[in-house]
Amino acid sequence: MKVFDVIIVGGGITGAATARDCAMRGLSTLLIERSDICDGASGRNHGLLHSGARYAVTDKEGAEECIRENKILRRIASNCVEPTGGLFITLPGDSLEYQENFIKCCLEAGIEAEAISPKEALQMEPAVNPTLIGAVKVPDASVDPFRLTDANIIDAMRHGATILKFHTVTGFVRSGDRVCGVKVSKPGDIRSREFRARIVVLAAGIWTAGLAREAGINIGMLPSKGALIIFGHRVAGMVINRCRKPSNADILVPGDVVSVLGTTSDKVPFEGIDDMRATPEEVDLLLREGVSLVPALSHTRIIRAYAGVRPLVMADGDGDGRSVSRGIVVLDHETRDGVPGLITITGGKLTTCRLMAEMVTDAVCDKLGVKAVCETALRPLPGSGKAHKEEGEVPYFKRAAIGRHGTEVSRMDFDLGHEIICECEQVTRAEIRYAVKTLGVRNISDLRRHTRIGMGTCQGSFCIKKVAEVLAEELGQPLREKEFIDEYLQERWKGITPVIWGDSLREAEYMQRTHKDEI
Amino acid sequence: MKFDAVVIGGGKAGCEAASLLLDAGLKVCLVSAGLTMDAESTDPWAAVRAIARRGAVVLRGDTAVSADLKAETVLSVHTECLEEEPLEARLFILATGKYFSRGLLADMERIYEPVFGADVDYIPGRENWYDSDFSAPQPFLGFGVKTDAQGRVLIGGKTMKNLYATGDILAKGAQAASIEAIASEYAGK
Amino acid sequence: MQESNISAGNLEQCLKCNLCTLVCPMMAVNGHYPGPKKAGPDGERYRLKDPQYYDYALKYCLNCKRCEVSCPSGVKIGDIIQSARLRYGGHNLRDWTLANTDLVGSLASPFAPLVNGVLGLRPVKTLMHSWMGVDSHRTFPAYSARKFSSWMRKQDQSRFDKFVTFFHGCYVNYNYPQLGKDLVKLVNAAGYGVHLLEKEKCCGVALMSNSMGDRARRQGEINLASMRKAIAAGEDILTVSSTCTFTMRDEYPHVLGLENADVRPHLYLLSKWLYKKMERGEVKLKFRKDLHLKIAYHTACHMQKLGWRNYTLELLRKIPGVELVEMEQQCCGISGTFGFKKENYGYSQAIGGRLFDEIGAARVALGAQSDPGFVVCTECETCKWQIEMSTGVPVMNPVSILAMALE
Repeated sequence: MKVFDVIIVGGGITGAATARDCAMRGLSTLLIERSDICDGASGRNHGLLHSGARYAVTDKEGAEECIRENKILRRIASNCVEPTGGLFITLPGDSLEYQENFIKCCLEAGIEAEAISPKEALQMEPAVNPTLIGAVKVPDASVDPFRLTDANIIDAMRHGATILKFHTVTGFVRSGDRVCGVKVSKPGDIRSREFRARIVVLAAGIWTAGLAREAGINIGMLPSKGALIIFGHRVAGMVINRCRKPSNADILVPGDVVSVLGTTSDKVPFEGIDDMRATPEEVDLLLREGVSLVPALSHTRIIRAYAGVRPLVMADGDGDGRSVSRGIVVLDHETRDGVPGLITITGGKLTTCRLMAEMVTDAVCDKLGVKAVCETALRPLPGSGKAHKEEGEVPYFKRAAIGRHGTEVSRMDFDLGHEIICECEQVTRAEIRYAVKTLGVRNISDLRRHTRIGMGTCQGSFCIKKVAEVLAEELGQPLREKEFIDEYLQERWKGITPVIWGDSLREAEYMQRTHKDEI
Repeated sequence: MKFDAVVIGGGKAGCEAASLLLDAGLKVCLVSAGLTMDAESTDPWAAVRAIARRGAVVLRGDTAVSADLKAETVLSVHTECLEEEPLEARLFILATGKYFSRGLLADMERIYEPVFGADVDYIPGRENWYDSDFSAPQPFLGFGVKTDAQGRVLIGGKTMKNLYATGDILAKGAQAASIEAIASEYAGK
Repeated sequence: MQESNISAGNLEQCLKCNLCTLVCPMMAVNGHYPGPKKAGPDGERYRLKDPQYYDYALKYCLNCKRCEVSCPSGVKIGDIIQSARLRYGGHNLRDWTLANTDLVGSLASPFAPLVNGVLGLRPVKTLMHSWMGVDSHRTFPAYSARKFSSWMRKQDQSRFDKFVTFFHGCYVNYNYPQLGKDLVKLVNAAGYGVHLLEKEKCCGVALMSNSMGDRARRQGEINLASMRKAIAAGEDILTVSSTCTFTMRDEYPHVLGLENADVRPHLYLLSKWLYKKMERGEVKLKFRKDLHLKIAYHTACHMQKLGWRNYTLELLRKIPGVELVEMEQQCCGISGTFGFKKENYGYSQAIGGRLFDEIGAARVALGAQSDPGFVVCTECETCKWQIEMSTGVPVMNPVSILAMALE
């Protein structure tokens, strides 16, 4: 049986970036994900590429990490990052002294923070609350976490990594105390397979705690729920933050053609982590707070609400969860728990994914005695860079794909597939085919993550029958319409119900009546 | 403009009602704010046009916005395009549908009927409006205006003498108006 | 808070039902046009992210507003498209010439006989087709040697004690003063004197559809200022053209961003004003009994959008002996300056085809094949040019018919 150098458990951004780094350093790499790439917190976050300003006052080291990684990702993932810039606004009732200190801390952490007048702020971003008394411009940006994760996965594959999706790790293969592999099974399949590796890395977000327990290891983790709401169009072009001690609902981020408002932070029990949904109360809270950032939100259509779970790690030795680390945590279980062959990488944030990968890959290489230099900050990810210049005007059906996938567009066959299937998000058949061939999908929810199908204002209710047909064709399978469509609509329904008033209620009626046989 | 009957809503229920009123020889005005989900794709305005061809005055793309009431009688209805010029009639039929056609509107807390302020049967509290299972019956699809045994609309608990409802705007279990019977009643008057 | 989920242009009220796409006359004949939903609310979400997403195929939108009339969600689809065209579209010399009606009209009018003669010459039309891109099938409406406004200023209206102000528009002023004279006759018969605006400019609809927003705005501001003076003097403002009326009432605020809430309730198409007055018994008119006209009424696109066609129909029905038949509500295809451009001519004619056939059939049905008393009636002057050119049937504004019918 083949023995991989490293097996990475978890197909979110952390696992993906780690797989990339390991593969680039020449390690034979296997990544195992129980569902689809980006189905955990990586697919349920704010899409914010932090400048680090938010952490500058309380966590200088964290802020320094953020700004360094922010600059790196802009360079190596240019198609995933939109350099929108950000504003931290001070409203009447907030303290301008806080703003002064805030700027000082930013500069100390290497973050370009520039105080601008309210008038300038309104010129830059007309949507901000016009009563603002101060503003600071910072290099925040918007990042597409799906695109970023996919790019890391694709790069890992192109450097020889193997990606195994839709398989759950049920336990570890042990040799004495040492972990030398994992046991996996497919859902609904009682048979179990084994994969061997010299090192196993746990990069499964909040699910890491459960996995570690299979190895008899206790990692103190606290699931922290964050709810967010998505508005139907781009209300503000810059990231808007509140310049005060970080609190609920004080960030509005432009994401492709929508706006995302968040977030909350509530500890939830482990039992619910597989089915996180935003509640109507959370929606009401987010909206109340959000309106003070950007008043137009009070009359902007909300298309859905969702929630993700952050993996907060308790500082080791802390039994009751009072001091929680948001920093990057690398746990070498050989030294910590007497279990060689197992390393955990957790904590951190989307912005520092590359650094997290570097840190854990350094640890892996150290264990394996491999001397290889980390090049992830230097080499561009697939898609990054100037898209190939078209002769004449770029046809409109290509533009959204170029915006999303950058140079990877050259691998899409537009001659065969330029029909637009999802009209809200301008997704063509060519893009669907690319997603199926490159990343592998089971159903429409998976397809959504790798294109943007169903993420627009109709939430799939208009295009879903057509998408199901096209997907079945591209998969070379008979059309399992009920399975595809029902699964997808149920998934979308979860996000529509917390915001089911106004036009979202109309959309809900439309969805119900067009997709149900009888009412 | 004066009519015998004004039908508000040009979907399936509204066009059927207008047709029956025309059969009884009444002078009818039909207000149709837009196309509905029932529209045929080959000729979306066909049903509305058929009503116009039979001599009804049709306001296409116009929306009823308010009504003039006196005691329990509707005197006239105002529309967006006709502004201050009222549509006066002896009989009014409300067939504006549910949420998609904007017969019922919803804000964060309540569901209401925007033209007459008619009484709406619904459960307060947004979490009660839906079932988390997409395939399960949805409470909000059963909400709608209340009517009496003849299909007359209630406003503030009072039954309106000359305002009837038909079609999707009705709450589940609410009595639909029998347009044929009402038409002969008004034709005889 | 959150009483309604709407934003600029109501773009995200769009539920993607595609009912607008079904009724768009351009989509039916032109595969390059993405359709109202894609060009409007879909496209705008992307244009908000980056202007490079603007699709030049938006130039095919006729601004007929039939998408808006059909939309169950109240999305201002046409407005979204027009606003995008103003921001990102462009224009060339030909567009500039076609759209600047005041300038061209003022230059042409003093030399009207010469201009008309030259513009009608075959070789000139061929040259304009190849050099300027103005389709040679089209004939420009003849220029009048004497502007309507010059004639009007010489009329003595002092015998009246109540007045209206007449916004005459470019067509009446430079091409067809008779229509203006008809309005004056009609309004005088109703007991009102007619004043002109202190200063009147072209309503700007052609400037807007050719992406010259700044100029349109300037002209709009002048018009609104003049109208406010008239309203302050207690006078309502009457028009004869459905497009001018619609433009100044709705396009000014929605597309150009000009506030006009104080002016709008006083701005009337003649038929709405006259209907209202007659309905309230304030005006009594006597019509001839021997007119015997056979009228095919055509609802111009902007007339459908205004929602006022029934006022015209009711007035026409008051004329004894008139046989009135309503054409199906559909677009004639010309859409103002759009149909004059050679690259659009084919689309214009394809769109209007059904209407032309229907007019022909109506003529037969009314037994009017050789009857000079068969006319098409419509409030839009560019529909008039299109229908006359494509069917040969004379087209009259209802104002002219009503004036003709006065005893």
